[in-house]
Amino acid sequence: MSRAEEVLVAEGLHKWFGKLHAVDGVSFRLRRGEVLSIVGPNGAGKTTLLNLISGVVKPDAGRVLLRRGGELIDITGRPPHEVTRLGLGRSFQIPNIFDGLTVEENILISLLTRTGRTGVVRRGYRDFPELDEELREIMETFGLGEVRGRLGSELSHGMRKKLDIAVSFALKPMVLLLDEPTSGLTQGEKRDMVDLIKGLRGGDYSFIIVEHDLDVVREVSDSLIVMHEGRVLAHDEPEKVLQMSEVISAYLGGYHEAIR
Amino acid sequence: MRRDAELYSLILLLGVLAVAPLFSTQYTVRLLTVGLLYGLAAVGFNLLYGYTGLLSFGHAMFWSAGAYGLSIGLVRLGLDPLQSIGLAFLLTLVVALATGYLSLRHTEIYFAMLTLAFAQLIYALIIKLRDITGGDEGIYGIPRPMGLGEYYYLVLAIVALLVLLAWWIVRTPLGLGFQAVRDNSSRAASVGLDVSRVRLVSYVISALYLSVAGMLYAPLNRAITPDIAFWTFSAIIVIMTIIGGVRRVAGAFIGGLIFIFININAMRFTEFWQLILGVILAILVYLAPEGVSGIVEKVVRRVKG
Repeated sequence: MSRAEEVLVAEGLHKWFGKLHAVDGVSFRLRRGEVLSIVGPNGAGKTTLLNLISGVVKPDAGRVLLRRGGELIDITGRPPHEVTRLGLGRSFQIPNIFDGLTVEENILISLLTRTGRTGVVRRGYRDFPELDEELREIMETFGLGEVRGRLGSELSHGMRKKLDIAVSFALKPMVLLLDEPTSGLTQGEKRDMVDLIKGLRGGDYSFIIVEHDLDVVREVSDSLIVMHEGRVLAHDEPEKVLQMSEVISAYLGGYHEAIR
Repeated sequence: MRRDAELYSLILLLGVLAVAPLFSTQYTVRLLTVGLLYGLAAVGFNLLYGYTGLLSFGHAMFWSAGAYGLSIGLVRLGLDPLQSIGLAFLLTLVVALATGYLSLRHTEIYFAMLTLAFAQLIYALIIKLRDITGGDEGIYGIPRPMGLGEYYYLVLAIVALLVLLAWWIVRTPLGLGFQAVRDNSSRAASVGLDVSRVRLVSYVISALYLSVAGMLYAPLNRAITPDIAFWTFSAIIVIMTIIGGVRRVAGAFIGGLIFIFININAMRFTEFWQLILGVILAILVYLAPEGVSGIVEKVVRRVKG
């Protein structure tokens, strides 16, 4: 793996929910262009970790640093809309889109916020020809061109998943967090999603992907973290980590088998 | 500009309203004027409710802020009309920013209850501050600068402008932001929208619409009483918007006009006209939750095939 510069650093993150230590001292570094996957059983703290990074939940201890030009700045505890504007996009486990808006409008919102036009009242939101090409490209990339005029509420689960990621991708984030991008998808849709992620990786984007499917993980990741009870059990190249599977499955009590 | 059925319907409707007085009695013109103002109020309310997803149960306070602000300026303080309008806007902004700041920390039923509470607080203030507001007697002798016929056209012009402005706002990036916050506020934040600010902007714009309606109402009636600040009037604003349909600007506008129509006609037959209103509302909510405008849209779509 190339030793590119770090774009996101998590340092000693902790989160308690009552007595539950949901995230217990998680640290890692993400480099530019890297795809980092996180696996672990339900309740391992994966989604909470994403929430800590994206500002949805404030950590009780630890820091999150994000690359901003030449330096890493502290984004710990900043509200989600600020974290987003600083270059961190995220998609959700349960597709999180705007149901009353069309596919096009869903993506357009991201393009408008990214280009600082959210408060504009002198032009209609459809009257930005300079955004049209990018809008079309994104819909094409994500296979949403044919449903561009449909409402979010009218889409299939697979389409909603794609739209969710497309909405985040349209923010041109430096780091994109994907929470279980293939959950609930058919085999065919899963294949498309893997191809999609592989198509997006490389270049400037970095990914943190929470994923259950180890075949998907193997195929798209540069590095892999295994979480259990809020802690990082292993963090290395995917093949190396997966070869430790004997150890891990012993540790996780057959988790490895269960998710196959 | 893109073809837009809603815009054409609005222009058609405003055109009909422009010629309506030629075929109406003085009494009907007065009712039509109230209908226009109710329509304007519903459109303003709906920017917040239908488009931003926040159900306010206290919008009477903004109608009152406009009506009382203007009347206090004109009658109590002897200001000229422009100054009085300025005073009314100032009062509205103070009320909107203060209640918005406090109630927008919550959403859904909590937001509704807070707005209701603040509106009742304003109502209590109006009753108590006798020297300024006239207490339960209200304010009399508000001048109207022209005859009823001419005043109708002044109201129509302002209402038309503001309704078309609302039609425009929901088609701008700002209005798209409203709808994004309505549909999914957590997602809205994670695409970079400052949700609390979007909500406050919508709340204040909505309040200003109600305020203008109230300002135009006071000279029409030449007198105002505190019932325009009572919670039942807030309920009327909610009801007429739902009757018209919350998915469209035109829907809310029609709702205000329909409400006056039902009000007058039902009152002719029975003093329990609210019973009729209740039945109509219940039927609509069950059978056509998108309101009258939703029914019209469905029919048009079917006719077109």
